Amino acid sequence: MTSTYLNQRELKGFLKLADVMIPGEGDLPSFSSTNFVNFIDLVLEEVNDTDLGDLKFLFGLLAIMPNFLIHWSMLFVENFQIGPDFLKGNLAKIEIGLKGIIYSLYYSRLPDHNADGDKIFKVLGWETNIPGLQKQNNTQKEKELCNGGERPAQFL
Amino acid sequence: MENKIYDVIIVGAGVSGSFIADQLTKEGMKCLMLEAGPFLDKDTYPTHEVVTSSKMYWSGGIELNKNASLAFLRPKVVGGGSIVNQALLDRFDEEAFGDWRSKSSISYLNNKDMASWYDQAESKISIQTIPENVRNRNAKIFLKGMEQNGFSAKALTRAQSGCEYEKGNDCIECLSGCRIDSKQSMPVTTLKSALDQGLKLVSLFEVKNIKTSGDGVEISGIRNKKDVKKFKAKKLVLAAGAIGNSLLLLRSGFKDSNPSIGENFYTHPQYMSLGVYKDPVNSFKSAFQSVKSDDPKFRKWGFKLENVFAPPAGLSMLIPGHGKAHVGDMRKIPYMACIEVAVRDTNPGKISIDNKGRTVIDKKLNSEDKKRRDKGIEIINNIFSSTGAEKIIKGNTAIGLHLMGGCVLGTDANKSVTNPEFNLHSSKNVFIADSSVFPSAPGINPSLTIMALSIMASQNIISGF
Repeated sequence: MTSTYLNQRELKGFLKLADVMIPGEGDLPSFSSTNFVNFIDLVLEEVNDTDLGDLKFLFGLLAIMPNFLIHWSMLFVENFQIGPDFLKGNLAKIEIGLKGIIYSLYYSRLPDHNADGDKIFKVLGWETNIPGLQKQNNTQKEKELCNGGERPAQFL
Repeated sequence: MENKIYDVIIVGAGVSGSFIADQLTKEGMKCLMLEAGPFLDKDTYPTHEVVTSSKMYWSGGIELNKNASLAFLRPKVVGGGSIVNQALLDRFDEEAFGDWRSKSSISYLNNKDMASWYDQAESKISIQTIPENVRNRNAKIFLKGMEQNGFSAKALTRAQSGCEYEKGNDCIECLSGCRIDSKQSMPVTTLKSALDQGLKLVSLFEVKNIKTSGDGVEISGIRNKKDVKKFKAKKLVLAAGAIGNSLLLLRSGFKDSNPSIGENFYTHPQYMSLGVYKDPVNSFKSAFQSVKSDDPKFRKWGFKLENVFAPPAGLSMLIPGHGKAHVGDMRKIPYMACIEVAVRDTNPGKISIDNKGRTVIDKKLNSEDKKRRDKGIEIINNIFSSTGAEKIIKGNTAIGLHLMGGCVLGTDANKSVTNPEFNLHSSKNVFIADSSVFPSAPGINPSLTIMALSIMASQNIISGF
């Protein structure tokens, strides 16, 4: 479990939060029992420095918080309806940001050691096809393509 | 700095940039196109949602307004919105153009004068009406509910050439880019012909600054997050969209001479609701989006409804809550139908930059916009209820997909940014014709009108040489 952007304590805090969000239920694995955390840099490398600093601080804090408190905190963030716009806006940003990272990693059919991505899609009943096209499952290649390893075109 | 002086530099490889590049290179002009996103194709479009959102959109997927009540999806890829959107095409009606004329004082913004530009745009791409026999149950629920509630609907018209639904293709896959080249995205239509005609394209190049002088423009930026480069041209086309164009002009110091940059920002805020049924709906199968509302009452009330759906990661953001309850709802995906209300927003937003250089999008719904949203959601609830939904889930996140305004058209330099000839008021060497010039929210899908305006602007650029 490594990341260019998060240290081990911050990764621990992230996984605690991710398991509160996706605790595992029946045939759906908890977030931490997959290895989707290994893809977290896919998202973090697009986050600006200010937000990344905030995330690192938050994950570091979560690492020492008990799970029930993390759950209550998320409930508070999700249901905060009254108060000044500034506070509501910032809490909503936290909620959307955290859910965006965790849910997009969990529900993207990422390849991992247990083929958990495929299993999750099967449990969800999500089966889409374009017959005749081979299913790709090479996230590293996709990432490289998006980061500049694309076909030679009219580049200067 | 490259010594070469191009005739035209185009910033942004989306719909407007590609249409303009096609027109200009056809006339033999030497054009350079700069795009911040990657250049992908049918063999390389991502197949994992997290890669799509983090690598094909700005800011890792979404950008938020000040109070985080709206999430903006701003594409960052060669082809722009034509890659990641649904390619729905409609001409504007007199209601939309009438509002534009009153705000801009530009007389050619009417159905009659725009007709030939629409004709030219439509001749560049294959447009098909989605046939009745490929409608999935989500569409059928929408149609049945609309009928039961006394409203009319019709099939969607889309830029596509051969989706071959009969072979079992599930089109929701093409929200990350069409892997059978049916969707008429720019890389398979006008951008392709522009490249064939000699356009030079630099992808993964983020433009940081624009300088204009009497005889040309100088552009500087960063290639692939590391290499600083500068380019020169006689003319510049800004085609980076409402947010992109506004930020670029603001960061380059144009605000003093164009005080309205960043003003009048609209988004058609979209609110998706999910209806959960006892029997499978499988909204993700076949043509996942095929019908829309076509009721004059909705136009009057200021919104439209469409049957839509989203892939799992997108749906997970719509479903409220977390933990086992959230997972429980996610398990019901095959049983979900989905309808969205897209509001024709009346309250203009503002794009600006704070003192730390960060983007600030101040965009709220006023009481009229909220009334439109609530009326639309009320009708969606009625549609779900009348068709047997066991549960209705109100989407947790509002989305802004149609990003418009910020550099609006008009004759008054104090109230607009772009003049009727598509020049920046303060510079005859800078042209803009994408959605950032929209004077207000039309309440209709913007793509076809962006194409028409871009062809129109191209003629002005060409005639200036």
